[in-house]
Amino acid sequence: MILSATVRVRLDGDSASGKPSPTALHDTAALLAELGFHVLNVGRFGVSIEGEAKEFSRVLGVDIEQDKPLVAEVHPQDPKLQTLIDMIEATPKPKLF
Amino acid sequence: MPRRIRKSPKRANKKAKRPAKVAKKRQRRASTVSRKKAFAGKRAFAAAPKAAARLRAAPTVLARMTALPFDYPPVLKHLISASPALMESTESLGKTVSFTVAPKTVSNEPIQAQRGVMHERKIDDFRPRKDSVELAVERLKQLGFQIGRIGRFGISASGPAKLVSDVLGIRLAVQARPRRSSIRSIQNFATSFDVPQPEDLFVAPRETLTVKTTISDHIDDVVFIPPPLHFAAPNPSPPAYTFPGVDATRIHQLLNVPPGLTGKGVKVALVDTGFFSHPYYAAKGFDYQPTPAPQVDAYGHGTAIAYNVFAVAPEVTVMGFQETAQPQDALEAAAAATAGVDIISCSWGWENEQTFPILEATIRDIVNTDGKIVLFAAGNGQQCWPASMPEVLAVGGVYADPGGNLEASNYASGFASNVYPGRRVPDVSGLCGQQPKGIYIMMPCPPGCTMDQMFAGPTFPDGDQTAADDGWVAASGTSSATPQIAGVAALLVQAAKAKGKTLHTDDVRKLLEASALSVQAGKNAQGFPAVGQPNIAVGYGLVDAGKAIAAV
Repeated sequence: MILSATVRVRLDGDSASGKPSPTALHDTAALLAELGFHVLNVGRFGVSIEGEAKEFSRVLGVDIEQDKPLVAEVHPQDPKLQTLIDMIEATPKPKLF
Repeated sequence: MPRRIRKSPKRANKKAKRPAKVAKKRQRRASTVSRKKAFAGKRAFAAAPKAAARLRAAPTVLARMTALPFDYPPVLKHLISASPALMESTESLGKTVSFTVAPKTVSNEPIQAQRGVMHERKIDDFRPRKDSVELAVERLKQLGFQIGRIGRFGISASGPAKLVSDVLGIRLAVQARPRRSSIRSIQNFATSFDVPQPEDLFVAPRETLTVKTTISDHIDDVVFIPPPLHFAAPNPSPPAYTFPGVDATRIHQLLNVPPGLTGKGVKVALVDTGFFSHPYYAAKGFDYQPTPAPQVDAYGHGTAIAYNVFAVAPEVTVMGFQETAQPQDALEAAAAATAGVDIISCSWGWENEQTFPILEATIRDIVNTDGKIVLFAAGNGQQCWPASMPEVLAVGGVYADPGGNLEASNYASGFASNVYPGRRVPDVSGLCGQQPKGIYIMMPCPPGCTMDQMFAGPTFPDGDQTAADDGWVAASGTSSATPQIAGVAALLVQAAKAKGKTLHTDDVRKLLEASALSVQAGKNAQGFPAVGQPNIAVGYGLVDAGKAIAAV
């Protein structure tokens, strides 16, 4: 089953804006794509990706389930990815009012 | 001993006269028959063109039908033979039959065998093998078929019906797509009472739509796909109803929208389930832009709530962004400079103030850095986030009865945040119905969508007095109140632009709070009473557009 989540990109040298640099965001997106994820969006704080639950577990060291909220630290195997991201967030569908 | 009957002379005479009588009778009968024949002839002559045409046509139609390599179900055979349009359609099917070819897959499991379980399987296992696609296409061409499109999972091909029958070794039968009866009382029981239209006809094998074939080692199946059902376009005008509700005109009045301002030149983004191109929006000339278009809105929520923005600001541009799996992605698209929106309105959230840091940071940045005016619905009885974020404008609900009396809607949320100290939700309120279902505002939606079905029913307050597939739903909640206030915000932005001013979320909040109409009756969904101004039930009260605009 394909699941989606957003990984937060760490702040780098240029953190005056409180946001990661575009370079760090795009490097993260490229690396995640290389590691087998489909990149949905490169945002201002992180990168949204989708992939199999086992891929999230293998690459990011997190257990992700469908429609279950998740805010957790990531433990990437890849050393480069370790320096780029620190957190993952998966939101279940919101309620409509 | 047998008795001998002696014939009387009278009787004998009678018998002698009989041949003459019979002859006369025969003559009379002959003359009657000839008169009848003559009359029939006259009748035949009078009706000659019609009857002759019928006589000529009947065998021709049957001959034309027989010439085609099709089987005909009895009823359909009768209908086709009686209708030139259906006959023409059938002949056209004889010339070209379309089908889809499923090549061998990378997992060697036929994709057609996954019907009903496809969602549980890894989709990549059923992608076609590249070599199989190439070889299947080559073989189909060699057999004389036309290739339509080489798709991700199948190859569309077509050819004359006889060729399809001969190559696949099957008999094709003419069939008709079912049509749902328009008579409501039998809709659920009868699917196909109506005579088919020419576009309803298709041909497929009698037993199955999927045919195993030996024409190539690189093809698993050949599939015949019936034409899909098309649902009738919904009526651009709302249906009549008798429940106590508010329409666009009444919303305009109750929110005290002054004449002159229409939202022209202001863009409001809605992020929601999707935005269906309902004819209501086109008929009214509203600038309603699903972005990108077209969009499917299976739930109907986004399509419906857009009504509320136009009710207040009829010349505003509404850009509808479909929700994304991770909500900040759609918000970022709405906030992108290319979209150029002034206001972002969101009628969704999570209960128990469940927060998500990346989404929270994104919303905060859109408000503080991009300067967009961001509104969130307070919820319908839940303690909701992101409405409780201090940066956004949280909208609650006030109910106006037919006499114009106002009270806190018992369907809408109002609460003190557990996450952000001192934060109370809502800031202000729009119009909203009452429990049990909030049926209050008749809004357009995709016909047969989830909301259309969920609220359909003849009796208020459980049903909205509409059909389940008519493309109209009567509902409400803080979901509809929020885009109403987004509409008021659009009027404020328009007024501010005219004065060379720029408004941000906090400016709009202050203007609306300072001018809101105090509501001092009723309780909200959590049971908090509307006492004092502000109060936890409705915030500062019902928005008063006229007073707020005057203060810009």
